[in-house]
Amino acid sequence: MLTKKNSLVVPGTLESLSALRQYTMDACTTAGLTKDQAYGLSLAIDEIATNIMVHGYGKNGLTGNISIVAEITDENVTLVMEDTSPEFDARKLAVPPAESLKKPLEERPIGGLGVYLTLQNVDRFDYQRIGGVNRNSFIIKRAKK
Amino acid sequence: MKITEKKETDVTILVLEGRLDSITSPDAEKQLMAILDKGARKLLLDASGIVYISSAGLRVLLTVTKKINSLGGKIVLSRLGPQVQGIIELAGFTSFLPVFKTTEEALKTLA
Repeated sequence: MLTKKNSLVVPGTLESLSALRQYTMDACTTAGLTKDQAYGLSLAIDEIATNIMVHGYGKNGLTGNISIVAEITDENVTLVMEDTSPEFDARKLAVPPAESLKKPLEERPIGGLGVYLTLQNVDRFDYQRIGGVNRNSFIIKRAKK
Repeated sequence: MKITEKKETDVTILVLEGRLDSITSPDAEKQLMAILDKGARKLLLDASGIVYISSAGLRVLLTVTKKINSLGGKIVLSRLGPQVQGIIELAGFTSFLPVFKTTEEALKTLA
């Protein structure tokens, strides 16, 4: 069975993070995800949305919206987030390899963990550029009953 | 992020409450740096009240840890919730930012 929640559209500014979080948590509750899964999905949305707000729109001097829609099937919860900032595929950002996460304090760079945490906390993350739109998809597998 | 400061001999215990994300992290970092500026060199962060941490929060922890180490001090974490602890471990922070289950255990290592 497919459940599709009504989409949410918010301004692409940091003030909108709480609305995106609430939407995500509602979808997690509807789907009956575990606490760990809900935390992971919420974190992934937070990290990518923050990138869009700060870098995609903010640092480029642009304004725009972010939309999010949840689809729940028997197998998966999929959140699709879209924005109109310049093309950006987060998967292409250098993700810290395991060795760099073991580096001593003095050698650890400040930052660069957002995309890594995103990829680690969802079962699948996809990106497409469609027309002038970035589409980021976050997929969590539901536990089998 | 609410930060409450307590003293236990020469250890400064900071009880953190709320979210450590891109909205709250800049202010949390300012508050923590101000505490270092006042001379605190042994910090115990009681994180039982942290309900959420993102990469922005990790950045604050890393910045403060680097700073206190450069000053010859020590910093430890205690009483993390399971999800927050999972993120700290995933980021590989526990090798330089020790995590303890209880405040008592954490205090012993700072003594």
